[in-house]
Amino acid sequence: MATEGGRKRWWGSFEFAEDGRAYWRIGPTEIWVERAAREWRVHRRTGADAMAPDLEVRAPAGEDWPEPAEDIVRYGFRETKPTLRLVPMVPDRPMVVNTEMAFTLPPHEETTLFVGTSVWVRLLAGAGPKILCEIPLFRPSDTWFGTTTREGELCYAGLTTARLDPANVGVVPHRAVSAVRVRNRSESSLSLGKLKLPMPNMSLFAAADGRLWTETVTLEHEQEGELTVLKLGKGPPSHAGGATAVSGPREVRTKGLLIRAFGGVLKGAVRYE
Amino acid sequence: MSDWSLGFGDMITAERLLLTARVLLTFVVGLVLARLLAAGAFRLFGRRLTPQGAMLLRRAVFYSLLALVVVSVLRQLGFQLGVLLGAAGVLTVAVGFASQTSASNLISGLFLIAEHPFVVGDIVRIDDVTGEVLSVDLLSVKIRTFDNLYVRVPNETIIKTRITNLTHFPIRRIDIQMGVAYKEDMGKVRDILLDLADLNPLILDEPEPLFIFNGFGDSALTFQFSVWAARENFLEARTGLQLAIKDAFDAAGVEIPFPHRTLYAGSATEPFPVRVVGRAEPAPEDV
Repeated sequence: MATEGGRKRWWGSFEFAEDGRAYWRIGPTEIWVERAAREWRVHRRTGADAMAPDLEVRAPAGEDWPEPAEDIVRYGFRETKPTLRLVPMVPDRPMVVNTEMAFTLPPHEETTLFVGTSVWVRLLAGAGPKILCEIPLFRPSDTWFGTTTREGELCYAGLTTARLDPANVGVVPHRAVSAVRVRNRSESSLSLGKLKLPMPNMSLFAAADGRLWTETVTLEHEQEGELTVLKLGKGPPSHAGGATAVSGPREVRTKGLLIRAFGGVLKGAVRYE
Repeated sequence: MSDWSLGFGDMITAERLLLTARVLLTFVVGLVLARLLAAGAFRLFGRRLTPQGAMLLRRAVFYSLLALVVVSVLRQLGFQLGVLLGAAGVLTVAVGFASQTSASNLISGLFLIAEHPFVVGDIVRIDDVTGEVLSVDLLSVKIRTFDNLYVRVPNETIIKTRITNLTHFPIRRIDIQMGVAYKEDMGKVRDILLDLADLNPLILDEPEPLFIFNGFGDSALTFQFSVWAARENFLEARTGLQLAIKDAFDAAGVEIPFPHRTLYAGSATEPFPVRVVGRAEPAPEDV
């Protein structure tokens, strides 16, 4: 776990001395930050393991600063201030989550699934403060969510084990857990092979154990082929045990969204040569 | 007598000067006003319109105001508009014959604007020219090719020819045609390709990658591997995937064959004389 007195959080405000530096390893991503009199330097590297559980924070880092990655961006300021903020952010596109195993909800049944999604980190510095950059802690694969290749939405794809008990969801530092309550009010069974979560409309909350949560998502399925009513809970979910807000939504949500939330949707001329 | 004529002449000159000044002033002020109003309309409504719509609005405002200015100037110069229009009618026939091409382009331009198969900013392929549409005008479409050349395509050509709009839909399919040696296990090849598509974040999970076995070629088992990507990532995804395929096939020992030729001289001919060149190990008796 982290170096600072068993600290389980990688976000928040960090103080830098002049020419100070720090290092974070959050899941598959490593970030190195250096402060100089008139610039911040940010190095980054992301590994291939989407579920890497590593968490290491060296802020400030002394001589034990690991060799930084070559990928570097410099941010110029008139004069740098000592504080750097790291804020976890929800992804910038909706997330389409595939369940590892087929999951079906019989008519008039209800269930709550716990799914994890990768988060982004925003680096802020200076007065204001100003955004230096945003880094996906793991860049999910792109995917298309729509009924045809003409109409739909570009989303990120995620894979979930869709746990039914939050205790079974692994604590991975770069992922946030969403409780998805699904109500099947139709007369037919509902396949939950693919779920679309409106991530840009959601907020992030931090629980005492260092785990990140989003609001509870409620999906109400009325009838086969119809749009689904989506409701977002207010504040942290009850499972998170008194979590505190760490960042708000990217886009302001509209109440009672109607979305196409369930997958297996592509029809028509996709499969033809 | 001479005084009178001088005075009349002076009066005419002064009147003419005044008229010229007034006409010039009307024209210049009108032109500036037309430009300002066109720019104002562009600024006011431009954000709500597409780039092409905004450009059309700007031009429509400018040319309408310019027409008013010209009419006003002609009236001040003493032209009767009715007579002018009548003369213009006769002139149109003459000019029409002389400017058939321009007229055809103009009409095509109107159809093109109404049909809008592409808008400003789209990437299109017209004949063998591929590039970004800079403007759609009444006579021609201006395109910037990717090697930064400015190409003007007459509207008439566009109406007649086949246009491919590369950025109309948000996602595109990348088709990779290739072959592997006959000795290869196609199941393994397929798995390698699907894994590569899975690992590349720019390649869409859905629509799923497609593996189509095309047939038994001259020197390879040929197949098509098709994946989807967002249109803005098309080139990056295609290059990345093809490089990854080459690396993965090299690592897994999968052979990408080139055409094999077997030379056969026929049974009636003597066999080809073959000579080995290069330094051979000396035979023991030569030592």
